[in-house]
Amino acid sequence: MTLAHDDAEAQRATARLIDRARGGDTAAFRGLYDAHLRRVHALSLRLMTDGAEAEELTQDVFVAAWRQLHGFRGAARFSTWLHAITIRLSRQRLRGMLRRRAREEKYMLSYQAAVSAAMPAADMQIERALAELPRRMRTALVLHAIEGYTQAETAEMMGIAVGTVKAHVHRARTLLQERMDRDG
Amino acid sequence: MDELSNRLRAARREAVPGRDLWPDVARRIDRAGGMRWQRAAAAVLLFGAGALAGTLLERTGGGRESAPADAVSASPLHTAAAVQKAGSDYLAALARLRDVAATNEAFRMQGYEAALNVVAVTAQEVTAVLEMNVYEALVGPAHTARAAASRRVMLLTGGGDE
Repeated sequence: MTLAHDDAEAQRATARLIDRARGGDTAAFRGLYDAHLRRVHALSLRLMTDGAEAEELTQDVFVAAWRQLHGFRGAARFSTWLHAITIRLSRQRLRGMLRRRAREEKYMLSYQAAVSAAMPAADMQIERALAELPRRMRTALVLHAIEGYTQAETAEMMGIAVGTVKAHVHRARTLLQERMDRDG
Repeated sequence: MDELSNRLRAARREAVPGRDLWPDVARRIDRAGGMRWQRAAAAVLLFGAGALAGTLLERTGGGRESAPADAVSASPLHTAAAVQKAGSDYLAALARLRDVAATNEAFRMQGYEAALNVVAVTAQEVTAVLEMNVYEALVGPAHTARAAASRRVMLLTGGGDE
């Protein structure tokens, strides 16, 4: 079996689960949740840079997906659709959280602990440097350089121009490199 | 490719939450499902009322006299208002039917049979438009009740063999 064949079969299995979940089958939706939970949570964690907030966001994403499932037309992969919901919902949640975080100096220690627990053997130097980036730069870099989306896909998911994504990614890489050089 | 790109590409794309998130998600989607069916039920009632009004107008010839079909469909506001009004009329008719039903069992069965038929037809329409299986969820049990009611009518009128 080729990778392409396996991928096509996985897509068909996902499509079957989506059809059943649209009809109100929560067991089928549980199947979708199990298959995509870890990818969604990884993005939530990097966007929120907070373990508890990331868990709340991940739950919100799946609840929103259930409510909006009839709107999923299959033009994009289901995982891409879930990631787009994650980006959208993170904006609202981050607004309140960033204000609170300004008063919390020790959040980075707590975030590193959350990453260590959620992503065993993660590159902590990269994760720490990513967490220190401004939100939009971090989002663009995570989607493009880690999740593997094209700049056009990243732009669409973030609701910004492709040129802006390019600028964010370029600036984010520069800042990331500077911080990593500084930390040795 | 430079070292930074390699390290970013190698970064983990999966993370395990620190607790089981499913129970809360399940509780919330159960609640969301309930709300969705309430909205669907309201939609069925409105469509049912619209269909009933259309049937009555057709029988009395009022629809042809009051406005051409094209003119009605060309005015979404007019159509929506007509459906809302028909919804009120539908509920009022059901209330009158309840009064009649207190004294005449056969009329009660006939009236509710007609009311359920309207709902059945419109539930199919709503299912197609909203892509939700309203028909099975709402009309399934209703059809069961209607079948039971029909059997009772047949017993009362001596038409059944039970």
